[in-house]
Amino acid sequence: MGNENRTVTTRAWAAFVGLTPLLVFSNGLLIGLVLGMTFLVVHSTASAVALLVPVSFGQRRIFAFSMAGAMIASSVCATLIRIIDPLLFESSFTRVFLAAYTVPVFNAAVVPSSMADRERAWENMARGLGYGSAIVLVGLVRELMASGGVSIAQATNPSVFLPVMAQPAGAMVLLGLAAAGFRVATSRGVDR
Amino acid sequence: MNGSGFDKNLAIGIVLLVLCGTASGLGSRYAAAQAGAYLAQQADAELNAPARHSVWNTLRTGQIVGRAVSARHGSAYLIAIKRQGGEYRAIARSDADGSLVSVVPLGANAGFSYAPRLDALFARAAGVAKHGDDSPIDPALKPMIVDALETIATLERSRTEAINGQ
Repeated sequence: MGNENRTVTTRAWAAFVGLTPLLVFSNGLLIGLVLGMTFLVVHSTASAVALLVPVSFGQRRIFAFSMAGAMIASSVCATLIRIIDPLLFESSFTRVFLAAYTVPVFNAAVVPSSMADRERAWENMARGLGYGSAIVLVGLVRELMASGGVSIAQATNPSVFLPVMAQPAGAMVLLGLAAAGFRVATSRGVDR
Repeated sequence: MNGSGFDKNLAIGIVLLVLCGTASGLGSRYAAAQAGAYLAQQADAELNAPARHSVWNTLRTGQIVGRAVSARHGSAYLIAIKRQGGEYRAIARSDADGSLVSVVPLGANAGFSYAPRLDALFARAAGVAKHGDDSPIDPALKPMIVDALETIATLERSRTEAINGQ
């Protein structure tokens, strides 16, 4: 039981570290929504392709297919963003394509080794939803702290409250606090 | 896998992947065309000249995202100045030799603290600044303005030279 807890905690830390680039880029609600939605679609595609492709392909080919699917999904997301808001696309397209190259997506693209794991693969979808929500939440909190309010529109005279929170340093401060909170919460769980 | 080494499932998988990739590429081209039409319209609206009927060219050169070219009224360039913590956007109109005629600020992200100073510096570059409007952060921001304006001048000159050469 203890080992299982440790494995879950280690995986959670690995996912947290792997998501850091997206969490740092997510410095507002709008960009957070863009990155969170893209991540969810890319993650779900990678895990779905890993399950749908026949096991006879072998692990390497399945991984290659899943990653190719994830990249096509990120391209489709970028296309949709470009149609909906071309200006938003111009400011975010380099970050949108990054979503396919994060550790949680790599993990989702690996085919589950045992049948029991394959049957529990739907959990990957839930994980993707959780990670995507975390990206949106980080964007929301950072924008709230940076400007004192939340808006999805660009302003000609934007309000400023704590500008460091919109910068990478602010993301690191927020992630440090979140990691400390996470550690306290998990250590309490182990003590019990 | 059969004896001849040909795996039918693998071939189907690769064909499906290629089809999806091609469809995604075509979708991307369509999106680029739609985005170009929208951005040209947006540039004309911001310049209060809907009759310009501009054509959009995506450039992504330095801080210049692209330009809306009108056959009669010259070019307007979309500038996006990125700093840590946000992005500032403006539309700059230039004349045929690439010098700045006017700048229309489009806005910046919430919490982007450099936006008011970038507004002031662009207004100064366009010759409509208030006297004595200075800030200690201006020297750090000026190189970005100068770079954007030099890029506009270079791009506009090369465009007009290409037209004159034809």
